[in-house]
Amino acid sequence: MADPIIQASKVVKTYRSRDVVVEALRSVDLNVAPGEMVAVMGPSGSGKTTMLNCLSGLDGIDSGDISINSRSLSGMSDNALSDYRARFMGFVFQSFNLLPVLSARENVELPLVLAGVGSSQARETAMQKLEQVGLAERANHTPAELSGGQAQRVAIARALANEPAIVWADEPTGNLDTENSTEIMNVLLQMNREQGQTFVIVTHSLEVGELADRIVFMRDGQIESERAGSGANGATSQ
Amino acid sequence: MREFFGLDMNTVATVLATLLIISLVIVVILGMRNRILVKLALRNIPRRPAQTALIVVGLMLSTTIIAASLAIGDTVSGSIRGTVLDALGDTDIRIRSAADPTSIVGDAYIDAETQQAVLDITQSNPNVDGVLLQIREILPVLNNRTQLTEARMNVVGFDPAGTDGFGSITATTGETLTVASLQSGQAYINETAADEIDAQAGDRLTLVTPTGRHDFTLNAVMVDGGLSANDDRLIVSLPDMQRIMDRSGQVNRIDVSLLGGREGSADLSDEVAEELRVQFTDPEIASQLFDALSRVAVVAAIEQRIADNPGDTINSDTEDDLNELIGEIVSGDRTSERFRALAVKSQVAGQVIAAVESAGLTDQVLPITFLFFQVELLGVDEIKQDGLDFAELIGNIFVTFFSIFGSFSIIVGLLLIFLVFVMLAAERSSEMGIARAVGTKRRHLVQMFTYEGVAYAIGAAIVGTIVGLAASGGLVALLVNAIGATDDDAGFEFRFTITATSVIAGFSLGLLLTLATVAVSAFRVSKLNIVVAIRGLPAELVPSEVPPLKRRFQNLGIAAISPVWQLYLLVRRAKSSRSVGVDIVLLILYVLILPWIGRVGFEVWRLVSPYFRTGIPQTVIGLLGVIITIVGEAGFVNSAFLYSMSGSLLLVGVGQTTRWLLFRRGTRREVADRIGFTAMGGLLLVFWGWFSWTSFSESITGELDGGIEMFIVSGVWMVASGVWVIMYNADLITNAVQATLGNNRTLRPILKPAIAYPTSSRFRTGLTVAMFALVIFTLMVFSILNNLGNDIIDTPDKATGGFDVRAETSSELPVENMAASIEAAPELNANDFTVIAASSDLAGEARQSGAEELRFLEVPVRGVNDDYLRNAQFEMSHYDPAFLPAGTDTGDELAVGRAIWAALANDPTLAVVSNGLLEAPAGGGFGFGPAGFQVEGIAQDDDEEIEAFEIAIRQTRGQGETVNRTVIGAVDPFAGSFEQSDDGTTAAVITTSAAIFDEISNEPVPFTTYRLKLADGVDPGRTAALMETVFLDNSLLATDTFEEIEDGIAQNDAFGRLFQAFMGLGLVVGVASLGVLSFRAVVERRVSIGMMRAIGYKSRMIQVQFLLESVFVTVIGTAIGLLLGALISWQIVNDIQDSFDGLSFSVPWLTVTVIVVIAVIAALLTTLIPARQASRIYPSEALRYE
Repeated sequence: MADPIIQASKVVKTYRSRDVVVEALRSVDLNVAPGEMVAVMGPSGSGKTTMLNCLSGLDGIDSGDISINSRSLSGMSDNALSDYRARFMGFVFQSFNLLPVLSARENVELPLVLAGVGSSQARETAMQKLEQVGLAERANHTPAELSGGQAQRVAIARALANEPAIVWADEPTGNLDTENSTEIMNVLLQMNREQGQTFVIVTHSLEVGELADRIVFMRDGQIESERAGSGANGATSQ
Repeated sequence: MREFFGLDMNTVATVLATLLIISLVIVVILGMRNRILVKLALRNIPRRPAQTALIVVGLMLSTTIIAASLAIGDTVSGSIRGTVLDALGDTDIRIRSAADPTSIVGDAYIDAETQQAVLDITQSNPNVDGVLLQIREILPVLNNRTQLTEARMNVVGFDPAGTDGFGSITATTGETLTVASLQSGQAYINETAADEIDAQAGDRLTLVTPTGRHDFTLNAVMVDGGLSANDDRLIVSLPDMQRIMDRSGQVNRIDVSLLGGREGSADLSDEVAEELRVQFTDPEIASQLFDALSRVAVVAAIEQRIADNPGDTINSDTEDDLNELIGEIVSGDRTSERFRALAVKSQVAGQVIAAVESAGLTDQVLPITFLFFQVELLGVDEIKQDGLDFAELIGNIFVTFFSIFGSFSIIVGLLLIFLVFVMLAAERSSEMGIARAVGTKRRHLVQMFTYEGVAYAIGAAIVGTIVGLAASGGLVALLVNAIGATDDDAGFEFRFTITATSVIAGFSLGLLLTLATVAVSAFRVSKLNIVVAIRGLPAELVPSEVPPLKRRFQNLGIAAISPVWQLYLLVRRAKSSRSVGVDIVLLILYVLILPWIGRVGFEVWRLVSPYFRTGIPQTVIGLLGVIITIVGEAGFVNSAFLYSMSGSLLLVGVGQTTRWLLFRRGTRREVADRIGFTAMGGLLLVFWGWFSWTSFSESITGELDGGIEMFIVSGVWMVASGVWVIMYNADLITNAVQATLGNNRTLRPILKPAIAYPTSSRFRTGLTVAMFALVIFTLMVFSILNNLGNDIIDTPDKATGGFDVRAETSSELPVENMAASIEAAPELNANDFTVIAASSDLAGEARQSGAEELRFLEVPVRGVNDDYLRNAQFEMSHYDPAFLPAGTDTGDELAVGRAIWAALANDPTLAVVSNGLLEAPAGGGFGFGPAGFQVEGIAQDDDEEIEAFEIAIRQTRGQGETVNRTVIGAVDPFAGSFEQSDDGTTAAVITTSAAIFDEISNEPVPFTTYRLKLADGVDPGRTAALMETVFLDNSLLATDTFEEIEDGIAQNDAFGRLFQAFMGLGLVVGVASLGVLSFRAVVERRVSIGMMRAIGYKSRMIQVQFLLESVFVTVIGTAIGLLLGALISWQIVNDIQDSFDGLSFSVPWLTVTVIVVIAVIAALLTTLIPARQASRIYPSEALRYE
């Protein structure tokens, strides 16, 4: 196995609200190799989303260490983390989270503009990405005018716009019907195969999970078990 | 404050309070029936203290503005009231000689025999508690110790025996002084005057009178107020005064104090004054007058005049008096006291004389006029009541002014209330949707929403009233700071005053307006669609439910018979023994008619409103209105309001129809909206900003009646139109901004969403932009108009006539020969004076030949010397070109003015009138015109060229000869506009050669005013001061005319700033609305913010984005306000340029910059907190709520 792009060791995360203390992550260790597609599964409240948030630097941790590309997140300021996310990460959410006031293309342009790409270049790249997800003809529509599957494809295009090293996906198919789910997963797989990006996907659906190289099962804030998915038989180099 | 827009203030307060109580009682009854709803509703209030505070602030601003304007009115009238009471003390009524006191020969004196008669009559009146004989003259005084002088000291000699009932005099040392203890040659001085000449007890003062110089020893300095008054006052004993004035045994005033103390009583004052007037008539002459009026032809003439009421000169009071007079005459009682009381009323006398004259009874006119003037032996003035009435009048003018200018802010405040509730409803929508889904009834939701709103509204009205009162205190402090707390000459002092009536009225009006807005918002909530609410979809996606036509007709039918239907429901429910409380309340309401009409109106609206979408009803109604105003001749159908509202409705209809047709033809909704609204807004802007000002518009409508309300209406329409156009074309702005700023690397990622968010929610943003625009619009118009007259500083000769110093003397102590006196004075250099122009104003009466008004009405007649006519550079606003020498350049205002004055110099039968004597422009002004003489047929805004006309002039009260003069021009309104007479107004006079005095006056009239032109390089201020010293014995007052203009402008500016500060309150509203929007946006966009943070936006960028959104809204609103404000001011200036030559439009850039900077900074500051909140949203937390 090559040097892992994501290295998490003994990660502990606790939520406190008044008298209630929830141990969301209890000493989690996880390594993800570059280009690997990992599915995180488990029952509600098992800590899947928390783990994703912590690994991506969206949320802080209480103890342990997380390194991305061998760089530890613990010492980074909020600003540095933002920069880091802008440069190395892409996000796909269950409810798409497109800015409703911008068109599909403008939504995809956001991370590019953020990275300082010139406007015409950003526009061109955004259109390419939309083409890749098969939505070029709806580029000027606003999210309200798109179906759920289409919106999620725009979100994926946005996540991939900067060609990030890692794409985090939290229930990307959670709001979609089977047909659309399959379509979305195919797009993700294709990106993974063609561009060699690392994917961490939180999902409830075993069907989705099975498509990944590896499935990590969580329970009560810990990794309970893991096994290879069907994707492991694919073109990904292990 | 006793009146509000002409309505009795107590009635206003009572009606408002009653309406309020009724509304609250209804809410309470509904609440009692379902307490759980109240509990649920009120639960929301403490849950979010910050939001509650923001809502209360948002809701209170209208109330604040209303309360502030009422309190300012209170303060102004209270200050004048206090000044009047200080000046008069216990004096209620002043008795004077019937000869006019304003006559040039000074106050007429009353002989000892008449004094005794007055004492007998007044002292026997049970309501009188004091009568004080006195002489009052304005005399120059010198303090020998300090060598300081006061040219115009009010010197009063009081009868030591008569001061009972007039209060006491207190020395500054605390002891009580009496007039009786004044020895001969001793005097008291009040503090105000003591300050002027730095006087203290023991000083030797020299008084100058027509009989020479007289020395007095100052016994004590008095505290101001009461007998000591609050102007510059010196008190001596009556015998001393009679001695130095050489008026042995005579007095010129008799003051009467009534029961009721210092505040006095209006009813008592009326009653006693009327009794005294009757008693001070000559019974013999009254009987003769009675006989003269008893002729059938005379009575018929009076009746005819009442019926005709030419020029509306007979008001309802006078009409009653005239009818009563006829009744008395018909009754045949020659000794009737009532007849005598009516006969001394000048309005009655004037109308009767005019009636006799117009009936052609020429032989009767002179005898009747003569009898009317002789019947009154002594004049009885209700000075205290008149003063207090004046205080009320000025207070009312202030309230009217503040309310009118404040109404923009009030409108904006109401929009804010609406916005707050729209936001609240948006926030609650999913909660309410779920409540509906589990079975809550629609009306329960509305009720809950209303209860919550009422709770906020009550809190806001209380806070708003308090803040409003405090704000008015702040504004008054600002004003006092700017112009000084007291005006020493008038003894005027600002006293912060608030009356309970104003507090009640302000609170009730504010709360009622808020409640009404709450009701409208609640109604909006009731239309909530459950699915839409739960899923948080934009409301536009759901077509509104329209009941079928048949149902709408049914509803209207039921509404038409509301009380009957309600009675039927009541009976039916009572039969099935259900509770009928609500039915009874409703029944009572319907019987009160107004709610019934309201319901019918509402159902009519519901019947028609579905068709409004098509724009056809608006077009039809608008067109009808326009046609009516074009065809209509007078009255309501000729109102500018009706015309412009109909015109606007027509254009709205055109826009809507366009939109509807496009939509029906399959144009995309957004495109149809854009075309429709842009057309509508554009057409309205053209209509309001250009078309209605054109002469073409006037040529089709004729002259329309409209007042200051048109300013408000036009402001609201123009701003609304501007906002429509901008909001429906916002993408153009987006592109423009992006093209200019889009290359900045740090700004680029935030710029797009920062513009996209506000432009995508058109309603909210439009409302906020409109608020800003309205406020800035008023500020802009006001600062441009306020700046207008200030241009005069560049062309001061228009106001001063080219004279550097104006010197006025008392008529008692005139300067015999000014040129010789200057020559003789060692302190003055005769070579410094290049022109000595002299004039005098004589109390006169005039009548225009051929005019409808047949009475002679009062007007000062200004006789001027040849130097005046040959040198005055006052310009003319109107002139008869026939009197210009051939070749005069009519484009050169100064040349025209000079030519007209020269014409007067060459022909003493020519005259000019002040511009103020012309008719006020149609539809303009507040109608505070002079009660005296006015020129008919020429308005101030008419064309410059007029035709000369004849007027007859005589001395006041028909004394002396009557002469004719040909009026060939009207003097520019700027002329002398900074010269203030004692009552603070600029005199409107008839000016002609002084030769007129020889013809109309029985005695020689000395010159009392000198206008002096100085040689180059001579300092006018120094010369004025020197002249006052040299001519102390003439009580001469000299003014540097240029300095006078500067002071006048400074004072105008102070008032201008007060108004601006007041209207600035509106800015607070606009800013508050931005705060509401931003706070709401943070909540609504939590998840989006989380996502943006996730993909790499730094927290600072989020903050900047929120700030940019506010700046965007502010800048658009400010730009619309500034542009439209400038446009309408430009039109106003163009319009009034006809009456005020030389006014030019200029933008006060400094003020504009200050306004813009303040608006933007305030907007940034309010957004700072929500922007911070937004930037602190933790991405993982925010995303968890998705």
